[in-house]
Amino acid sequence: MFKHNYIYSLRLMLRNKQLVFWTMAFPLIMAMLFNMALSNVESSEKTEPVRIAVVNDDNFKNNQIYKEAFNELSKGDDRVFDIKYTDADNAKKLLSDEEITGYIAFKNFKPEITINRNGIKETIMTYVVNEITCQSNVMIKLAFNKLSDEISNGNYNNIQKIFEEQSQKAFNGEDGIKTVTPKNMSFVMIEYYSLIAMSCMYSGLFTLTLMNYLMANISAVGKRSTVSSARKSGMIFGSFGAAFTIQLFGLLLLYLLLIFGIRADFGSNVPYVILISLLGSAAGLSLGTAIAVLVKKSENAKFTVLIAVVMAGCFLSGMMGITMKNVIDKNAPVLNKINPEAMITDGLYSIYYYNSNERFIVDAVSLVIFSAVMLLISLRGLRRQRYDSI
Amino acid sequence: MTVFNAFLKVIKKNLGTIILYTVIVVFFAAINSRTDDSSTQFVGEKPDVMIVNLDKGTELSGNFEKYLTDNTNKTEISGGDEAVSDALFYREISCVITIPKGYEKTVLEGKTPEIEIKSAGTQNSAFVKNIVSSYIRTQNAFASSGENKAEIIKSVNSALSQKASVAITSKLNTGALTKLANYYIFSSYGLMSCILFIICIVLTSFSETTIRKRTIISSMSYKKFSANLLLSCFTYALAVWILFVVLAYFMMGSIVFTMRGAAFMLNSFIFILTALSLSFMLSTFVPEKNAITGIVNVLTLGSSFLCGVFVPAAILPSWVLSIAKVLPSYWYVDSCNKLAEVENLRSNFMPIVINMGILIGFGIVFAVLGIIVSGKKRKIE
Amino acid sequence: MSDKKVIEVKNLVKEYKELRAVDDISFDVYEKEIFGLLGPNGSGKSTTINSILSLLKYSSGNISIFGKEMTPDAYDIKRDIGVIFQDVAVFQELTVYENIDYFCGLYIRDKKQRKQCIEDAIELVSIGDYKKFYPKQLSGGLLRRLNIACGIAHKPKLIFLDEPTVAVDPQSRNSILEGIKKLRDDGATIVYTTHYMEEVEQICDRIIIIDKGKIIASGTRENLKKLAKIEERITVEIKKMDKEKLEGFKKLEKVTDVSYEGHTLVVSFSGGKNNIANMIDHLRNNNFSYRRVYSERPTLNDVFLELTGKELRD
Repeated sequence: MFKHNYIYSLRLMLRNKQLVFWTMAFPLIMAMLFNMALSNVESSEKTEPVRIAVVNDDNFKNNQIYKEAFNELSKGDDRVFDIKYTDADNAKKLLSDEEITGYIAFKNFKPEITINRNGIKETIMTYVVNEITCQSNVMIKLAFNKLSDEISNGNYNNIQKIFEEQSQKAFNGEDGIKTVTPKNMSFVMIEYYSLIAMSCMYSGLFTLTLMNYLMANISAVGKRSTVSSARKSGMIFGSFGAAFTIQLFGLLLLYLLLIFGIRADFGSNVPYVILISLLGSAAGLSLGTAIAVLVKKSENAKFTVLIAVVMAGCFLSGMMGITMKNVIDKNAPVLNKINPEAMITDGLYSIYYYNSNERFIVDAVSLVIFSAVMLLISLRGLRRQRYDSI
Repeated sequence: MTVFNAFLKVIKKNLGTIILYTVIVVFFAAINSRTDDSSTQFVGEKPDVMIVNLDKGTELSGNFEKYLTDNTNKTEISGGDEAVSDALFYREISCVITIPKGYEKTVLEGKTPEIEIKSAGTQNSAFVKNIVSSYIRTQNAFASSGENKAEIIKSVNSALSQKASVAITSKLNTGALTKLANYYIFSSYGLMSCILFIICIVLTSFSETTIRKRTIISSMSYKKFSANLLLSCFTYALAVWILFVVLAYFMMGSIVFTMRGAAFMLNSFIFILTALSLSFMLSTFVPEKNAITGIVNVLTLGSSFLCGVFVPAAILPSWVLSIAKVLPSYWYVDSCNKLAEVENLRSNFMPIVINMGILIGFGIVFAVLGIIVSGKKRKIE
Repeated sequence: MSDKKVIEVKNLVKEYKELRAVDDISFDVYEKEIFGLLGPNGSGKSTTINSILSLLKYSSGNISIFGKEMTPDAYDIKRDIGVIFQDVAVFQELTVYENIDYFCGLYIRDKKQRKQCIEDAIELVSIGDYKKFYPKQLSGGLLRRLNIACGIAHKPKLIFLDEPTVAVDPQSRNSILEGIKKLRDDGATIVYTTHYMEEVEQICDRIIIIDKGKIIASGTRENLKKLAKIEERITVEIKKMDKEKLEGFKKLEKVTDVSYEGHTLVVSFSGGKNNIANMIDHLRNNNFSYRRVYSERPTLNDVFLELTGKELRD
């Protein structure tokens, strides 16, 4: 009975165009869309030069320190600024046309910044200018100290040298910073993990369809199956097995696309990735079964309910806004504890980012519990052989 | 009236879907309006930083910490190492600055203390690095020239407090405007889904051969029937639009009804008309109900990804944006972004008007295509 | 007809809240007979069948099939039962052949044996030309034939058919009825429910008539017809009639009822052997100008009408 039902279940699913689309084609399409949209996200995180203008009047021209500083800052590939030297009116126009982030004018040797709004670029600009001011002040103060020492000792020869030394100290000192960037910081990966989760959960559509075929109060073929001498358990296992097979196949395709086509990174722990995929698929299959048994309406209604539940889960696990998952973790963590998609996404995330065991195990066990609960709920409906009304 | 009633019944049946999408939009908007600095925007004047002071109690480290606090958005992350790592990953903080034990001692000895910065590698964290670097170097300069603790603190603070004066020309409340823009942008997903999904289902139901035959031979003229149907569809779309605008008001207050807010409303209204037109076209192209769900989802999600709804347009690669211009959502989102940033609305309204014009153009094209195809289909019968 | 009882139903009751859909029904079905359940829509036929099959929970009663108590997990009994439900139960995604193969496979494991069964079933309902077609492509009649093939492919000894000819063209209907007879001739016992009395009259050996959950009559065709209280009904097309002349007909021998409507005179007789001859004499003697005259025996509809005051097909 198992083999017979297994083979026919496979046929039934593969010939159902709608089913095949949602579970196999849709995730692949989404993967490609994500890739297109997200390919730039992380490269855009690197610094770009800020476009500014400097009012090129006498005030500025006579300001040696700033002139040199700006010159330095706009040289080279990793320069901080792209500077346009122009007159006051033109600078104003450039700003209102949004061609530059801001412009600097000098009054009494002090810089005055005009910007449009508060943003990161504006902050950087302000900061750098302040930095120059600060350092030149430092240099002056230090030089002044040193000079007053020298002069009180009667040394006038080293003025130039002193300035240079202090300048060096002020501008080029060591800062002793040790930067540590953890490995695997590509948070765009969350989108792809969320996609894997969605694909796992959509496998519920398979069991939904197949279970409908086995229940006498839902479909006519269900009646036939129920009055036949075939053991129900054999039929259910056959259906489940077929659904699981197709699901794994679809998931494999998705992984292939993600890993080789899109170069998504799943970390280095392959067995764990496989494990969570299997558990995730089981969760999806059992969800489908539960909906088939619990939702008492038409077949279309069940379909819609499953899709709605899966999409909501996707949203909560970060597919439509990567930070959503984290926000929920902080504000309503219980949601993440019952959302199987969050469990799968988090599991993959922990493999990628932490390479740790504990968090992953929690996710894996949660998935097992979820599947078990769903199946228990369905058991009553599946076992039932006599109905109150048909 | 009969047509309208039938329409209502279809809506009732699919109420779940409508509620789902509305809830998603509301949820997202609510989250967005609470967090002031959502890292999906990458806009913030002060980067979020976590500071760990292992030399607490010493004056020098205290001064350093104060400086950092003044110049960044000091954030506490509770929950241990894992939570901190998560926060870094999700760009909730851009780095963790650790002031080492024995900081003051090292400085007073004239040496450079080692500050560890755990960084997320973003523009924000690079900025933080510069802030720290500046302070340390300044401090070093004074420490190495023999000043004592109090003097160092005084000198460093004095040097660092020399700031250029900053004038901001914008009179806009950019924070609130950005939230409003984000709401409208994200709601395009909800609007598009609600309208596309329901209208397509209704129109395909009505154009199913069996029902269409009944309609054609009924005593209601086909023209009257079509007009009724169209009116019902429009009423529904209008209702959905009003719902979203009202929700906006509940969440963001009176800014929704300012001049600029009105521009947002107009933009989204034109958008729903375009969506209506698109639904009509889709229903003539794809007569099967089952295929519709798939296509609508691909369209709405695809548009939302490629046109800057889920991922900000500023971050999308330029080649993607060129492709996105084929989709109406792109022009809608572009208008929203412009409305949020543009200083002087009156002089800079032209580009937005052009965008709206393009949207209307899309709507007309969809409608015409739909009419042609449906005309052909009627004859094939 | 044999004496062996295949089905024994005793005091079956099925209640839905206040309504008794099946109200204390008892009957037996013997081996190799075609047993008919006749009744209008909503009378409880399908409910009875579903209860017998252990698909429905029933409130009280005893049901045994093949001498054993019928339960949902009586798999040995189920092996020899075939069911054709009112709604077509086939998979849209499988071809005709695959559908029959699937359902037959629920009973018969052996591939070779199954293959033979499938071919036999296809031949029995004559859908050999459509083996590779999908249900979508079949007409209503062909679909029903497929429905039957799926139900009997495993060669069951007891077959239930629940309104199998609803919305079926006459050609298919005939072929179906002939097929059923053949099945019985091959050794099966048939339980046939319908609200079409012509079918019941055509093939059923014994019949029970059900209305509102109760059996109101049972017996063979002939026995039942005797309940009709009319032996013969003669219909004449007459253009002109008046009250007096109408009364004249009532005086004929064994006349129980006379009616005239729409240029048609209908006279019912409770007995008599020469009724037509008498009628024609009367017509001639009274200078009626008439056209067609024909005579009918009572139908089960008449029986039903007699017993319940309503028509079968209300």
